This record gives sequence, C-alpha cells and structure tokens, in this order.
Amino acid sequence: MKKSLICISCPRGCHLEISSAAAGEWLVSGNQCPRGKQYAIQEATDPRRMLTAAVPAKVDGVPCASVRSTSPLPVALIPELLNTLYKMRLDTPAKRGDVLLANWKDSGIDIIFSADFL
Amino acid sequence: MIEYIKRDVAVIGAGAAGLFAAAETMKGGCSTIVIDREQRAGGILNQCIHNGFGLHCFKEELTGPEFAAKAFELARSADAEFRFGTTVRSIKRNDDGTFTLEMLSRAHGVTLLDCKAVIMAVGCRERNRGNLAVPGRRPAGVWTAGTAQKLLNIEGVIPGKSAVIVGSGDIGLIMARRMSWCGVKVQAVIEIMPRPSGLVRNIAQCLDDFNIPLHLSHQVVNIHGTEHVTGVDAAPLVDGKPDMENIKHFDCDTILFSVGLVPSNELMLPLGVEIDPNTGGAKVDSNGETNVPGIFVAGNALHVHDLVDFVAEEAAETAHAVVRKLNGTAPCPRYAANTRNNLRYVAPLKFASGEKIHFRFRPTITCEKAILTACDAGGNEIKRWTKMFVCPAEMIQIELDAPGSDITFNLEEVK
Ligand SMILES: Cc1cc2nc3c(=O)[nH]c(=O)nc-3n(C[C@H](O)[C@H](O)[C@H](O)COP(=O)(O)OP(=O)(O)OC[C@H]3O[C@@H](n4cnc5c(N)ncnc54)[C@H](O)[C@@H]3O)c2cc1C
Ligand code: SF4
Repeated sequence: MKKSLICISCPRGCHLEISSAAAGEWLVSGNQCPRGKQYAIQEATDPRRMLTAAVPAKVDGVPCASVRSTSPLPVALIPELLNTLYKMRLDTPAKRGDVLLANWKDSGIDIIFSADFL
Repeated sequence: MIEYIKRDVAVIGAGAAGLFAAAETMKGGCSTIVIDREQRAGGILNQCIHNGFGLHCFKEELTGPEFAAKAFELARSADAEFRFGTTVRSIKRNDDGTFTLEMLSRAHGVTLLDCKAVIMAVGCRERNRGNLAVPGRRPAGVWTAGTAQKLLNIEGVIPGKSAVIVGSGDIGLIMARRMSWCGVKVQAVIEIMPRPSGLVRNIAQCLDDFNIPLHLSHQVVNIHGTEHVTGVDAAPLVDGKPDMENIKHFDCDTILFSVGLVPSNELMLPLGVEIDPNTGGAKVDSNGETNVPGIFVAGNALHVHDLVDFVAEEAAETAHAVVRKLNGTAPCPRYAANTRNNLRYVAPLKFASGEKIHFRFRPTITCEKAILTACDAGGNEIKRWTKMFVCPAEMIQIELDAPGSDITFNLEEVK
C-alpha cells in the first residue's frame, strides 16, 4: 500500500509518500525533516487533528466561548465531540485553560477554554 | 467637556503589533497609551480561534485568543496604559513636531491626546467584492471571509447552510474547515489563479479533509438571487478569458470572498504619509518611521503578515527605534533598499548602515529552493541566503549587517 499525503506539521507542506515495509515498519519519502516521517506514520495509523470550536453560551451579550483540544484528537472522535459541544449552553464563568470536558472518550485529551469566559 | 491628556507615545491599535510595541516603549522609559476601538485587546487574534500562533514568540502553539492574552499580559506587566472602546478620529501634526490625536469614546467623550510619537498598529482591512467588480446582483448572503469569521467565532452565528468560497487565501481555507465543522456544506473554493494563494497545508487540512473541491483558474461570472443568494456561476479561464460555454453552477445560500488584505492607512493619509503601492502600507525606514517624522508603522498596518510572530518582532523593533528617537540616539537611515526579480516588495525601504536589520519580503514565485542575494550599489554580492520552499503565501525575513551603500535584493529559483 502506497499513500500520498501533505505534511501539515509546518508551513512548508511537504508532499509525502508512505508505504508499509514489514509489519509495523514504514517507508516515508518526501519529508524534509524528521517530523514529516512521524506525521506520515501517525496519519497512516491513527490520524489526528487539533480541534478548535466556539461553544454556545446562555448569557446576554456573550454569544459563545472559544475552546480547543489539549492535543490532536483522533479524527473519528471529532464529529460526536462537535455535536456535544454545540448542544451545550454555557453559563458559568471560566478562565483560560479551565477544563470543559475531561478525557473525551478515554482519549486522555481534554477540551479546555482558550479564552476567559465571562 | 473635552479631556486633555499627554503621553510620550501613542499606540493606535491593541492587536499583536500594538501590544508588543507598547511593552517595549514602556520598558524603554516612555509613557505609553494604547488606544483601541474594540472593548478588549487582541485585534484580529480574537476571532482566529484556530491554533497555529506563537511558535517563535512563546515557544508553544497557541490559538489566536491565547496569543492575545499572553501579549496583553506582557504589555500590562510593563505598565502600559489602555483605552478601550476608543476610536482615534484624526491625527494632527503640531508646529513643534508633536502630535495631537482626537479620540472619541463613550466613557470620556472627546479626548485630545498630545504625544511625541505615534505608532500606527491599526491592522489591515479585507478586499471585498466591490474591489473585484464581480457581476451579478447584490443579494444578502455575501460576506468577506473575515466578517464571516467574526460572525461565527465571536457572535456565534452560522451564516448559512451551504457555501461557496471565492479566493483560496488562508482565511478562506480556514473558514472552509470552520464552517464544515459547523455543519455548513462547503460546495467549492474558486480561485482565479492557477495556484492556490494559501498554504498547501491549509489545502490539506481545511479542504482535503472535508472533500471540498478547489477549482483553480476559475472566475466567478455571476451571483444568483434577488433577496438572498441562491447560487453562483464560475467559468474556467481559457487564455485569460472566462469560457462561458463551460460554466459551473453551484447552489448555495452563502458566498465568502477571501481575496486578500490591504493595510489600513486612512488616518495617515491627511498627514502626507507616502504609501508604497507594492504593500499598500506606508513607506518606512529601518526605524519603522514614515516620511513624516514621529509617525511609525508596524504589523499588518505596514504590510500584511501571515505569521503573528513576525508582527510581534517587527513591532518590538519599531518600538526600540521610537525610544532611541525620543532619546536622540536613533541612527539616520539614508541608504535605499531595492528589489529586482521575484520579490513583490521589501520593507524597510531605507536603512542606516552599521545596524543589524531585518528585511522582510513577499516572493512572487513558488519553488522548492531559491537563492536570495543582497548586492551593494556597485553590484557586488554582500550576502546570500538559501531559502527552502518559497511561496507568495509566506513572508521571507532575513537579517543583515547593513552596509554603507544602497542594496538590491534579488530572488532566483534554483532548479
Ligand atoms: C484570518 C486570519 C488568520 C491568521 N492565521 C494565522 C496563523 O494561523 N498563525 C499566525 O501566526 N498568524 C496568523 N494570522 C496573522 C496574524 O494573526 C496577524 O497578522 C496579526 O494578528 C495582526 O496584528 P496587528 O496588530 O497588526 O493587527 P490587528 O490585530 O488587526 O489589530 C489592529 C487593531 O487596531 C484597532 N484600530 C484600527 N483602527 C483604529 C482606530 N482608528 N482607532 C482605534 N483603534 C483602531 C483595531 O480595532 C484592532 O484591534 C492570521 C490572520 C488572519 C486575518
Ligand atoms: S516534513 Fe518537516 S519540513 Fe516538511 S512540512 Fe513536515 S514538518 Fe515541515
């Protein structure tokens, strides 16, 4: 199996090719630094993305709060997370860095406030 | 009642540029007031809730609001003074070389502020459909990408159910992902040029992740809808002209224009500040000063940046020059910086010799490897830099021990 992808780890955006050699071993080409290899293997085995979102609030004059994941999240976990976030109606003050959802689906990743809320 | 106040330095704009500038002028011993028409610090950063900010400055990858909070903290801990909800309406240059700013706020009404130097950190504005002369009606549902970003991320309003994005700049691409995550069906991105204008990584993570097609070399030829947008037509370009036989139609209720940014310079024009047609911002020297002594410019108000870290660095450097200027120790920039091939602009345009100076450029080419050279007035090469991966979406910054001669910068692809 050979796959082409674009490294998103830095603005250069190298075009990578990855193919599986032996079990658990990968051949990566096109990367201009070691992070590209790491990214390609991650993308082939367990693709992840940082998630940022605006969560609705139930407060006059403050329509929403901005949040993010503490690290890149498995892509498959994102749709349900977004649904959960959009159904919320926040009304309790929070500080930047406070946890909104802890350990989402046992991923070890939290959703935190990226700005003070209220 | 008119309020009168007096400070050494006025910083207009509390975005990344204004915050970093104010922190440094305060550290340099100049009393500094930062004025912003918004109610809080951060400027454009507040609506950029995505991550990708601050890797150089703060050594961690932050979202826009997080970067803003940290920068605000820097300026506050340096004791800079802030006036929010306050708009600067005009700047007057007095006979003694000082300035009087007329500002308006709900809290204080009219305030007249006297100062010795002004740092313009007012950011940029978006080009809109008017600037592009797109034919069709003027129905509701047409936004600039930045306005839509503010609507979604600050007002919490989703602009529609299905959208087409015109222009492949990074803001448009980031909005494609943002809207997809909000359940908006993004039908397509239409780009008039043969290449995307945003970074490839944003094509990958904002379009490819959501199977959004990118139509290169296509031009919008019609917008449908009377009260509200119902669709848009795009035609492929053949020999530079839209091929009307092969129009693609997209049904949508929302159109976002992401077609570039231009520095805001309205406040400076009446003072006679000269504008560089290549950046749309003021012409400045290596002190960040315009042709009007005492008026300095930094950040997106000077030239449009893609990285906030460079905005911060540029603003801090300008602030240092302001401090030296007020202390009477600033160098006198008298040599010219020019560009030859493949560079849209260079900033600053004038520099002082014997200083370490950052020059910033926008390339006009995309290539894997390029050589940037600096030659003196006699055509002798002073220095060269190898640049891996060059594209118009990314500013280039280099540092040079400035010589006592004019310089010409040149960028060439290495095959
Ligand atoms: C959509 C988008 C995405 C970006 N993504 C990234 C990214 O992923 N990573 C990255 O590093 N960089 C990114 N950037 C670039 C970077 O964030 C900006 O270049 C930077 O924040 C600009 O800072 P600034 O201070 O020059 O301008 P601004 O933040 O625009 O600040 C200007 C301020 O001046 C105020 N002002 C203007 N006129 C007046 C007046 N007359 N009176 C009072 N106040 C006034 C405004 O209210 C505003 O607060 C992005 C930029 C945009 C637009
Ligand atoms: S491989 Fe390295 S240089 Fe290339 S895009 Fe990825 S992180 Fe950047």
